[in-house]
Amino acid sequence: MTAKRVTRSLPFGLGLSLLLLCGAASAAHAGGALFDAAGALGANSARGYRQRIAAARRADARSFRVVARLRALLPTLAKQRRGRGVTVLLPLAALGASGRWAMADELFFSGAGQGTLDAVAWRGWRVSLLEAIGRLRRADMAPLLRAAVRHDDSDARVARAAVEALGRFGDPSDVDLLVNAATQRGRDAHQLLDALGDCRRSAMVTRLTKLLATPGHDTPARLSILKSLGRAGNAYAWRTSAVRKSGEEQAVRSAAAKALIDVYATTTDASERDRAATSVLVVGWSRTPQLIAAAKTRHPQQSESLDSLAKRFARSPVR
Amino acid sequence: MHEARRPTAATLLTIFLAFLTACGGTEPGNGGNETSPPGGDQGVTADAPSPDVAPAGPIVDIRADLDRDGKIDLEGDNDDRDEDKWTNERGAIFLANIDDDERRCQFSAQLSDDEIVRCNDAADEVVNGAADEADLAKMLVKPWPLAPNGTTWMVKVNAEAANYVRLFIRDSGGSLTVYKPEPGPAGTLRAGFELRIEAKDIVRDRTMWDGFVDVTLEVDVDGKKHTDTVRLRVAPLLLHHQVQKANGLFVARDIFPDSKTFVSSFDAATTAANAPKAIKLDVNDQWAQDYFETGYMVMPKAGGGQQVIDVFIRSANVFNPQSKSFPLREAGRIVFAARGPGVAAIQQFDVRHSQEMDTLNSNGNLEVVPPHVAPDGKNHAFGRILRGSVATFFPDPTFQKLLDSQGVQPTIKIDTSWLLVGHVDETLSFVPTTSSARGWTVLVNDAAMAVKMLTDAATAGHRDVKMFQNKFWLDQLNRQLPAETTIGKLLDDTEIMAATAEAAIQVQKQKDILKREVGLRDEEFVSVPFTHYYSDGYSLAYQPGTVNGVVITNTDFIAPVGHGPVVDGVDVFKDQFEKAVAPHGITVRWVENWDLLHRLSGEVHCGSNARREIPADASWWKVIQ
Repeated sequence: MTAKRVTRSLPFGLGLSLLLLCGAASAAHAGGALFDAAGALGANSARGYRQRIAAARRADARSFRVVARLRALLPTLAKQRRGRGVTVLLPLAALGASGRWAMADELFFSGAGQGTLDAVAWRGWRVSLLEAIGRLRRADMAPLLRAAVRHDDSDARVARAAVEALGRFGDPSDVDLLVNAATQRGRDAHQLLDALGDCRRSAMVTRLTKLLATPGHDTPARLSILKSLGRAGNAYAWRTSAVRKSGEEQAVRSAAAKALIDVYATTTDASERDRAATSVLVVGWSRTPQLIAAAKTRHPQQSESLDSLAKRFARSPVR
Repeated sequence: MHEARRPTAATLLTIFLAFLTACGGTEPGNGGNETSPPGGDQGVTADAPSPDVAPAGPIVDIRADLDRDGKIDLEGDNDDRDEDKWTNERGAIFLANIDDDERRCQFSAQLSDDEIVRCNDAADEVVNGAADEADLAKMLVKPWPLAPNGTTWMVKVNAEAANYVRLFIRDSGGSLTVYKPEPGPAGTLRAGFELRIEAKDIVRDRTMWDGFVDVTLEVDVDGKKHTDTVRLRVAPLLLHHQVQKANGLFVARDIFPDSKTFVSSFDAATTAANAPKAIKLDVNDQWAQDYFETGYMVMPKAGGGQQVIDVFIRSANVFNPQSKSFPLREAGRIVFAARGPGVAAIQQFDVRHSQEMDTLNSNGNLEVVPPHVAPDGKNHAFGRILRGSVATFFPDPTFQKLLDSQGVQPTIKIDTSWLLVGHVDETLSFVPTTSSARGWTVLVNDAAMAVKMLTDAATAGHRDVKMFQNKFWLDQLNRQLPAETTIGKLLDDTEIMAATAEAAIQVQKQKDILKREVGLRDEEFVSVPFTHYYSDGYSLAYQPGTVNGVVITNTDFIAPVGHGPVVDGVDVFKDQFEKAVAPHGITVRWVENWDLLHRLSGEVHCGSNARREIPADASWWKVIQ
């Protein structure tokens, strides 16, 4: 069985090597790829990725077969779908870290394209691939995701998934790129803004807080920023090693909680107040009662409403 | 529209006919009310010799069953007093006669979505047999034996209702024929006569028709008009709630490779619980909860009891917005296979409603909070509808308007916009209980409890205990994608943990709304722990959502097998759930739905449906707004 697999994988590897030697693939922008990799990454970088993908195909042919098979199954899965979309995130995630090259190949280099997939399934496929790559947090995927964020896909949900995936790496140097990608999205900005909070870094919370203070954002955008602050400070996320390693828990969660409580105390928009309260509870920062007390001092006219928030916090299941 | 996915008409009909026969359906005949028409079989008669002058004032008196006792009294004022008003205490009732008592309606894949709904008993001007006659509410015109020659009469309905109702009159041969408003002879008035009324449809929009009709008898004596008006109200469409006894369960037949395990597991559960065996729907759509809902309409029956029309409601899911003929979710056509004697089928949709929100039109997002008295004192004797709906994410407004127009089960709206699927049944279930006067309680997802249970187990040294053993994310890939994980891995998965925290808060908000609206207390919620994960920024159940189950008997609840961690020989999640519901007199019947449903974003409630017994006292007229 093993021997057969190896034998089957060889032609792929050989074929790809031949293509690379001829230089043909470097100029290609496969129909299903998110963007022109050579243009987005530079020819050398793109070539390097192709080489690594070719090597991965030899080392882990199974992942490539599974990704191809999943792609082939999408029309069937799409017919059975529920809700807003098709998700194959968990099957892709089950490939583990070694599967990232097969996913990257599909997404950024050799993807077969939409074909007969309907728009929802096609979106679901690309979103799931981005999510699955992002949750691995492997540094070698970051350049591809940065390119994906810059690419700014015409489908806002795909663009959002790219922002979310890169944000999960938690690299402060990506904050500008992420925030710019979201804020420059125009009418769809809110769809991307709510993904920023998956970059759980102090620099991101600072930018999100500044965005709240900047006039000109419409209500959907402000609601997404408030949601992002909740995501950044998410109490349970901060229990996991991937997030904790930054050492910024106190900075992120306390700043997020404070910004949210300030909005709660000052906004006149009921939907903003509700969203801010929800995010305060998602953050579940232990010093929230003190932050609320301080807000009461600054905004005495909101005492009653802040007391109500304090009561909700006291019985919150997430603290 | 995918032709291949169309249900097989003959199969569906066979299935439903068998089912309806088994369940008894609605008894044919014996309808209207007991009082025979004045004048016996004479019915409509021509002018005959009579006094030239009325001795006293004219008798212009049309009556209906105002006191809702199943008969019309021509003497006394029980069915006469305040007849032009309609209140919760008094007023006559009629049905939307939209069933198919003689099974005339075709169920054909060739009929478009618009065409297939058009056929029902109210779509023609004939009475379709004795069962159909029973669905027509009776009115009687009291005899005026001394009506002078030359006197004429006519029956009119108010303009607002005219397009929505149809009147029949009992002719001299005893048959009911459609009434055409034209002057009638004095002889008929002298004998008195019988009228019947049907609504051609349910109320869908109160701004178009509020369900009331004023039927006026107008008598012309020597050019002088005398009138008498009786007001009737059409029965609303009522939805079942889970605490009502199931008399029919449904799952899709084993259409997919993954169906077999689920269907056989479901059957085993119903057998063990002595519940009805599930009808297998011949559709290529396993989400049986989503494409239809069951309801009913009731009016007082002759001699007491209830005249009932069951209603199968197609979901407003628009799957093919570009198709003029078949825009709707195909599997929903099953409701028209159910149409028959005592069974109606309806649909209501707006093809222009946002596709992004279409998931909210699935009927997994249409549940009913069982009967309760709200904190404001209002008696919601038939419960209240529960839907996921917020200002920016809401179901088809025309369907919601239909629900709102019924006036009996107002809608409580909760926020499900944070969920990828967005249905209320993902986080809440209503079940019977023997432990409170209310008679029912609420199962509710407690995501924080799931984390606590897992954390406690990890702390106790069980971090490496496996979950989801021998489960896979896709079987078509030859078991290459194992779902297996461990307690430790789950607790260290940032995205699962983050989604779980948000779920805990969002469900808390849903509970707060139920507490405020229904008056539930914290201790009435039964915690059902499971974790979540994010996809596309929205939340889904990561562990099987055990709250998403079905009440199959008064004491049995079907729930999805959770494949939780086994610590010291005990699946701690299974154990927790069974112990949590036991004080309520509930036995959990575990059904394996991982392959067919869970890994495609649903659970056993999503993959099944139920028809339930009509309440013995369905006197909605006492509470309708």
